[in-house]
Amino acid sequence: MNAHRGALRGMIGRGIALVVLFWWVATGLIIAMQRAGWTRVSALVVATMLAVYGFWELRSSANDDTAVGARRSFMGGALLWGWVSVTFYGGYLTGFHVDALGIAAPSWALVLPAIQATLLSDVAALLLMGAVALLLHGDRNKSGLWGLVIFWAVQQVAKLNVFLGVENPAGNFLPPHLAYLRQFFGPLENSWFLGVSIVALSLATFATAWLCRRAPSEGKRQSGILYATILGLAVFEIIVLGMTLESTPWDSFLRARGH
Amino acid sequence: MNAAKSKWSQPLSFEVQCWIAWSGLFAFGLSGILVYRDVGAYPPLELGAVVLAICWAIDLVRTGRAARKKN
Repeated sequence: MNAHRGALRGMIGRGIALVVLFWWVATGLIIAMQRAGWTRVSALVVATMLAVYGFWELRSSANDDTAVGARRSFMGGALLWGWVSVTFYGGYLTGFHVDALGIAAPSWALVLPAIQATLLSDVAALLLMGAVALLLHGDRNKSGLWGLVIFWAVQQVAKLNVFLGVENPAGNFLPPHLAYLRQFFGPLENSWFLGVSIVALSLATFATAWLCRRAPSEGKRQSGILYATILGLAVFEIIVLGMTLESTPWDSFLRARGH
Repeated sequence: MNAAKSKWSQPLSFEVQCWIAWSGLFAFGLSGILVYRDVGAYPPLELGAVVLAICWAIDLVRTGRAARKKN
């Protein structure tokens, strides 16, 4: 019993550490690498190589239902998500640059232009999800696929919140070549959707954490911990969108970017 | 946990290492698209990388196929 608890504690610790470290370091590096043209290209080259390595990790851990297998698969999915983020922030895969003709968000007239503005990045993410689903079809370990789906889904929630209006949309995180996205930022006050998002994501976090305790295998328990951690971080991010802060965990990366 | 449990330290095969390196070269080549979009001409270094990546991909596919046939 004690050995079982010890193993579970190890899984929780390693799972949370892996997700938090990836979330903080990857986000920070993606911001810092927008410093100059050559750093943007370097980020693209490294992220692409890591994405191919991610595919290899997903494939080679596809039938490994252990805790390590779940973490490997999740890391593979996270590296693919990193590639989507690098190609978006680097300006390689964004969307169609539409001028919204001075209409203030949120407005129904802006919904289509807002979707178009990040369409290529979203299509790339969906295609990657499809490719990973095909790659892991019929396999036991799909942590990487669900990790990728959750990363994308919580980003959509954040985007919708910014569109409807939040106190702190963090527009300073956007590099100059994505400044046009600011026209889709809603008013600087929190909308009703912010509270709904926080409640829904908190419920999803607790439900995932609760359900993973009864999962049938070690790998499934580890996957549940990883998903719950992403959802928990998403709750934190949405709360941060709703309040003005003096500093963020990525200030040093923003200073490294230099603009 | 069984004896055949997964490890982070599983060595990458030479073929996988080559494809990872290839993807970096190809991504560098494709990054020229941004310059092309702004300036209207493909930068020569990036164009060279695309040509090299295509040649290397053909070679990687052929040697990979030959190695699998041999095994």
